[in-house]
Amino acid sequence: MATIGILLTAGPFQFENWETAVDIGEAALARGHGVKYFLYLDGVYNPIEHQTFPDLESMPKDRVQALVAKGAQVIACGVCVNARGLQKGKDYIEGVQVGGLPDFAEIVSEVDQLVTL
Amino acid sequence: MAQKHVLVTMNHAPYGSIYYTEGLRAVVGVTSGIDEHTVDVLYLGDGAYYALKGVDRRDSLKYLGTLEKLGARLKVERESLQRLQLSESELAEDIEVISRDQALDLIRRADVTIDF
Repeated sequence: MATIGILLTAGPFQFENWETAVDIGEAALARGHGVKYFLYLDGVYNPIEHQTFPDLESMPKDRVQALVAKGAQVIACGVCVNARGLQKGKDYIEGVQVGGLPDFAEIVSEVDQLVTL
Repeated sequence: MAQKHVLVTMNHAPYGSIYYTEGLRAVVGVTSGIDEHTVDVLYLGDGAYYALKGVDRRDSLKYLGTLEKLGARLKVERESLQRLQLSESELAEDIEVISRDQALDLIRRADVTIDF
């Protein structure tokens, strides 16, 4: 089985990159592959626990949570997190880690394919 | 774990968004892990504007300095320059112009490609 890396730089509620990233991750996990996400730039907004939006049935954070529960690794760039006032990810859903670019370098080491979204 | 060769394509112009500077920060970050991945940086599309002389590099100078120490070359695709009607005589000295075929070869040879 393969390991897929996803670099997500877009935030929720403006672009659909997050949804594509989640769809790819779900499909890969369903086929037994490993999935590792690195959230960079506005991508770090996706796993915030207190998201609400009236017209969406499920929030980005709910789908990220489901991925984590199925074994996906999700690491957010700490510089990006703190730059956006997210205070070391204190309002993140459970299971999302805050790290740094050396973690991304490690993901690059480990994956068979990397997708940038 | 293994060292990989990473091609980073810069597709955004060096103004109007943070992609350019933050992309270079990520490039340097990619080289910082225990495996010390090697990188090439290729300017494509609107990213080719960065190759011009006189572009304000203050935000990116430290990242470019690190890449230079690592031996990474900055490359721009000739076809991107042509599409933007930019002349090779207008380019900064540290930029290498390559053809689209050479760009495709870089992509083929890279273990991982990242675009910003």
